[in-house]
Amino acid sequence: MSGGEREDTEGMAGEAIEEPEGAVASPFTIVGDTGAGVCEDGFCAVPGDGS
Amino acid sequence: MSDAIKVDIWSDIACPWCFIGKRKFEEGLRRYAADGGPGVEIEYHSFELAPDTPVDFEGDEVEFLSGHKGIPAAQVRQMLDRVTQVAADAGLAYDFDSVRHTKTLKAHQVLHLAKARGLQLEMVERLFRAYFEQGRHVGHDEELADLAADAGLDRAEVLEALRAGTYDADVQADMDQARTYGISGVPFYVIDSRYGVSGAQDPAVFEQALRKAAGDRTEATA
Repeated sequence: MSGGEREDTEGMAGEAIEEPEGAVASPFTIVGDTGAGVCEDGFCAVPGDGS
Repeated sequence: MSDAIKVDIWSDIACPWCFIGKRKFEEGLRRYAADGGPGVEIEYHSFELAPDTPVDFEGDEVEFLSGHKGIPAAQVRQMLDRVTQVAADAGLAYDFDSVRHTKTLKAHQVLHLAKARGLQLEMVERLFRAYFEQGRHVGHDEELADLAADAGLDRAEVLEALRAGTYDADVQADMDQARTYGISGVPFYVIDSRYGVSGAQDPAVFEQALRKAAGDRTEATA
């Protein structure tokens, strides 16, 4: 796996979400919250640890 | 369009949240299916999370992440412990001490061959278990062929496809499609080309998305 710290692009509730440079808008209606475990750019953030 | 709701999943074998997400999705699907409704067709797509990973890395997961990615070892151990606990809650026995960190490009090629033979879901499950629970090396042709045979594929055909690079273009097409969709992290689920679910969400989220898609079908035919 890959994991660890990465620049946070997920805002807390009510905060603006800063999209990474070059991000493409999703054509889908997004379902669910932003706190689920996801791996991105070689890193796997663990929900709740601020990464 | 087929009657089934299509679920497209972008995922990587070396992504711990993808295997956890698989279990959570399966539970959401089970709840959705319990009440009837349209069937569901699942297709996995390739997403190579860390293309710069060497095929052969001599070291454990902590050494890879601390040495290759520059993350303090203590922080890596803490993170792996937490992921292992979440996996256990999902019924998975992650063993990061035995994980053989490797490049997953060839594993993705095998998944495309498996899709062509109608065995993709079996192959996905076999590769996840091999990587996270059994310490198998999923970057070498011979080991991949053994795992593919476990999933019902022809071992010789797997070796030939890997040697010839038969599915190189298919893997790249999946990666290009992900980029077009703005998918930058995995797992990512596309439900009926309409709803997107990012990450290993709770089963209720997948159940809700499937019900929304089924509801849309009902409205469209009313």
